[in-house]
Amino acid sequence: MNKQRCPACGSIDIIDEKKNILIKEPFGGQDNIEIHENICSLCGSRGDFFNQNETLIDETIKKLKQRSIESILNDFINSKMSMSSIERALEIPQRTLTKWKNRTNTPSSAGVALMRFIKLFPWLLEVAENKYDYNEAQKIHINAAIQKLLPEIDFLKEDFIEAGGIVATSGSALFYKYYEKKDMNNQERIYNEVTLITNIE
Amino acid sequence: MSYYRYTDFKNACENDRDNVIPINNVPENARNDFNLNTKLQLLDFIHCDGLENLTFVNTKDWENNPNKNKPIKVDAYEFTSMYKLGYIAFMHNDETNKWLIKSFHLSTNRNMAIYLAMGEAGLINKLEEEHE
Repeated sequence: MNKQRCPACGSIDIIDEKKNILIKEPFGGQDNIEIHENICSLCGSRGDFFNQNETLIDETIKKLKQRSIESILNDFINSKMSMSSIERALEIPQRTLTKWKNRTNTPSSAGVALMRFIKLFPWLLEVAENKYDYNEAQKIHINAAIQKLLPEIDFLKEDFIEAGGIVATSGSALFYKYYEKKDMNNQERIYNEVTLITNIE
Repeated sequence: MSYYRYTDFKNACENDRDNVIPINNVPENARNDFNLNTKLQLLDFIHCDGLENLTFVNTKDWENNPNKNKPIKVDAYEFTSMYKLGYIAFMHNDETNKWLIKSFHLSTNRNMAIYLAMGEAGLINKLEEEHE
């Protein structure tokens, strides 16, 4: 009879215990599962000596990935992004996303990764719409970054006024200017101007 | 010099998977540090040359070996993968004919991390040129 032995030291004195582990998937939440843990009483090695956990872990990950896809696609729908337009932009067959959402088809790992990138960086769809043109992609990327950055800048802070000027790199320059001017109603108004110039060959 | 031939270990990860066992914290660290969620993914990663810039660290006796008359050696390596610096240690028990992956985690060798970062930034070549 093939006795179960510790793979590390060869002892047959093995304890089978249960242990809970947390499996997480981005945008898919997490699941707590109970797995076997074999512990050798002689050498103290522990682990899944007899491949008892592999299937359960694999199935849990698949389930969470499916949940992740459904959550991302629901977010797209709630943001009024139509699935057919996403499919068109990404040049994937129509109804692919619907089939993923309805579990008619299972997305590949590459499909799941793509959806996660689109969820994190929706402007990638605009890049796809522009046929992955490098220059357009750079503009879209920088514009997205600026849109993200601008609300974080407090233009009314004194030190910003004093620091008003230019930030330049070898490929771009950001001019910012603060000034006060009277408007048509002769009221004093504060103006902020931000100009970005990029040198994209 | 390493005690085992790394290619033997790598080949076992491809052709003899039942006899390669990740033990102790390896599955958890592989999952948390390297997104390798299952044993199969870990072994696939190793046999597909996922451990890049493999650098031998040392060979030591397995400390927990209950049979001190038959020492079992543990080989340790550092490696890189994308932006990560990793550490792997494995051993083979001839009696059970099993490969044991004893450690698999991010390396704590900060010097090497800095060295690699400097290399990526092109600073090492510049420094070397200055010293020539």
